[in-house]
Amino acid sequence: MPTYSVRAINVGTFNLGEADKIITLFSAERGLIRAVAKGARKPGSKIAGRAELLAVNKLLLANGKSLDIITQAEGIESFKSLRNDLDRLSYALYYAELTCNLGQGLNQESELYFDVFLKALRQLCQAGGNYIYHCLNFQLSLLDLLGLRPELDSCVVCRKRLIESDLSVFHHELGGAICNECFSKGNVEGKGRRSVLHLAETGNNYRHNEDLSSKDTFSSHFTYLTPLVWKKLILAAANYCAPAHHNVQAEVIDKALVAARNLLETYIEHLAGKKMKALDLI
Amino acid sequence: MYYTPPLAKLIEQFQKFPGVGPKSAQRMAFFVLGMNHDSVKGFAAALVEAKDKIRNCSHCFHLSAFDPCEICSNQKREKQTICVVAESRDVIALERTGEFRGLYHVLNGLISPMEGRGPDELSIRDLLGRVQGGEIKEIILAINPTIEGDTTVLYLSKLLKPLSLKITRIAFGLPVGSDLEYADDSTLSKALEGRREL
Repeated sequence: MPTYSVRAINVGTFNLGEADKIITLFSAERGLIRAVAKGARKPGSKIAGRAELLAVNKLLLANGKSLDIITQAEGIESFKSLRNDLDRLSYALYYAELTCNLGQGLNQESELYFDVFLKALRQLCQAGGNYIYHCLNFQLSLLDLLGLRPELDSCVVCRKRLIESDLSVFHHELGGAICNECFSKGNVEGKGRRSVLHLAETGNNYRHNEDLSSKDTFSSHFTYLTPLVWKKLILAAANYCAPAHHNVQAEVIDKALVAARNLLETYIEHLAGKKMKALDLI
Repeated sequence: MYYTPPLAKLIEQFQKFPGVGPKSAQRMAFFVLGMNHDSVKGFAAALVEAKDKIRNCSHCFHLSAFDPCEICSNQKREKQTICVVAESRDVIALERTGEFRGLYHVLNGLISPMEGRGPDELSIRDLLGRVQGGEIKEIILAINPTIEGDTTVLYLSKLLKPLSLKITRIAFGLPVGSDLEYADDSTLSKALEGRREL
């Protein structure tokens, strides 16, 4: 039986039969692979720890009839510190969920994405990091490698360069921001979603206790875009992490970051056609 | 395959069991044909009776023919301790040890975003309802040390900590009779973390 070796991160696991597991792996060499880990659920199995979600391994796989079979596994990293913090674990599971759902489109860029994914998991393991910003950065890198990076600099309808005072919405179908003029002319259709931040910045019906993380279904066609959220997206796209603020503005800035992450989350869910569940735990 | 229709139907039914393929289903079907008439009737009646009578206990969600189940209605059990498990079969495994004398709560699964299962799909709300009664002093989380298990434990501890209860999790480490050389690094580090003074 021909064999091959890969470096891979486990992004999904399902039970098979009495003691086996089907593992979805994202490998640096071949992208998304599904393989069987035989006996991985038996107590005392040599492969049990290596078959865990988010474990990074060097694997030897044998070509099988339908699924390949893991014959040897050597652990590289297991990110133990993620298991002590619900927020960090939820982000890591979100990354795995995204990879599982969109990984097929990354097979051409597998080596590059593998490094991005590994770096993102390592960042989550560092205590005190800005996880929302790292998540935003990961979402943008993923979209970039999929060739679906959102257009934030120019209006996706008229191609006019966008400025703060000219922002209206982020359109999920068109994959970018739309200027006020195009939006008010009715050049775009669909139902939209207003974030609390939008209401705050426009001064309408702002309620402090409204949950920022609450989102409509992924089927909403556009999200209202505020200057602050737009700036956060532009900065994250340019890989610039703003220093931490310790003043009254800090809370607003954090909310903008959450709103930017939620916007990209909805955009990605729109592309995948599926609601991601991991971030609901935060 | 040239099976007579009732035999084909029987093989087809056996194939619905988890882990049973066409060959195993065929072996089972031929075994049933070799059984005497009363045994087959008893087997079929047991299947129907189990399906008809067994329900989730309204207190702990363990599978039982009674409501409340045998454990919840047992007056000799310690009512101050609840052991939270993922599945009913975990209750059976723990009962086999004979070490635990408290009550159980079956979550009916673990949080797994990959399989689209969030906290709302589990019996977490019912657990909180039981705990808020005030009688409970300790919660033991007997949940698998997998990523899904750890996510569920972190989520539960976030909800339970404000209720000022004693929350513990069962220890992890090397299985009895295993070999250190073949243990993976996460199991070994868990074993070291949970070492005991002799």
